[in-house]
Amino acid sequence: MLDIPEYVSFLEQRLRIEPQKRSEVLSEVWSHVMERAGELRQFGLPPEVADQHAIRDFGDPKSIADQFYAAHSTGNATSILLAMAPHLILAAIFVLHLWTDYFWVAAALAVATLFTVGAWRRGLPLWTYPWVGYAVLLPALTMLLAFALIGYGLIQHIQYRSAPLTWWSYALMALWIPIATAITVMAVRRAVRHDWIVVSFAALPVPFLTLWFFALHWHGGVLVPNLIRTTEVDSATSSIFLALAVTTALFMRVGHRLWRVVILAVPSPVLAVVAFVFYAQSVANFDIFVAFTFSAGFLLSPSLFDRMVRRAIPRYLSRLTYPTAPL
Amino acid sequence: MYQKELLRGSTETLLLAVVAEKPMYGYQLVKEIQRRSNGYFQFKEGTLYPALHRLENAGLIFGAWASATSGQPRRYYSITEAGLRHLSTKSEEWRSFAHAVHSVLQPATG
Repeated sequence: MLDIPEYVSFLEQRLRIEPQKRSEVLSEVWSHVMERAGELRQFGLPPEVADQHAIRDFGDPKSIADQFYAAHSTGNATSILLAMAPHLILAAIFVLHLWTDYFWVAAALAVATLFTVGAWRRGLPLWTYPWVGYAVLLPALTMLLAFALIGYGLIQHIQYRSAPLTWWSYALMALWIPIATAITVMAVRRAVRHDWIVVSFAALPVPFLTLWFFALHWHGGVLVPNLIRTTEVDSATSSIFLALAVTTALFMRVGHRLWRVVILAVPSPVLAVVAFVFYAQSVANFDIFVAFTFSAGFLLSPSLFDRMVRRAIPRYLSRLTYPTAPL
Repeated sequence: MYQKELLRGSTETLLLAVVAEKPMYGYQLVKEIQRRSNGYFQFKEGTLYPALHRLENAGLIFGAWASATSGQPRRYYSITEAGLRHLSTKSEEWRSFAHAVHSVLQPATG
């Protein structure tokens, strides 16, 4: 049988709500169960029996955790609109063909970063994660770019005794890599402490953006954008961001966890595949299958880190039973 | 079973009605509802808090931590203006429903 601290710990491991709210909920539960147990002791029940009564009266921790999840995860109209906003801004940037204008891209990233810093201080409510996703993309992508450039420079240096960039550029990049890694890891760790699903929620546009970068590469790279920046292609890209905004709204509205997993695993990979087919124009079925599997696998992969970051449920707790029968 | 279904549909209205009178914390609410209903409403106590948090997220009540006389910190819930309006609507709906059920159940006269 669980005692009161074990019962609260059992509930804590299953509460997948914002960390700040989680500690408030646990304080309330602790205070309630202790008061009930104290009252029963005053009625003359032995301490162990009183504790078991108090636990039984409070209810099954798994069911209570599910009810808290439903109570805290359904967004209202304002939070849904705020969550959709970054996708809508990108849809506007593409439909107005502004994505190659450094000013607008920098302005959008600055807004995302400001929102993320503000949200971080307010305990990262659910609607902020799409903003966090875009804000973290910048350090994550620049870190990968720095790795690639340093690697390329090293190969050039070994082969030709000269590197394409100056030594201080490489030094700056080498300095940036651990900083960018720390920012990315910190954001992912903080999100996983909330719930692995919110990491995937933040990463929703990544499969599509990856294919978009590939498409740019096929069309000559980001430095020759006119090859791809046609009205038709930019409008299609804009539609994908609109569809991501709708997916975000659905995710925010649905309170049930299983439906959220379905929303993460299906629409975003489908959108990535649609974009893939549109950009590449003729692709084999196998390539479509690989693109879909990669995208869905990527979005569900944070579940693998869940147990690593979250304090593992002690074995002794999973063996203990919760009293359901009258004592 | 029928009683459970009725309670599920009315929990939030019952909670609003009780906190409308004075700020209360969770355990106090359970006891108060049991007392007023002469033990008819037996909550599984843990289900009360998700209901309170739902009401708080909807802006119908708000919670604030305060220390009890024993020094134990507790979260006291108070009703908001929106909560009072909601309670008034729900109470009216319930009165109409109860009146209609009562009219059907009572033996026809005359």
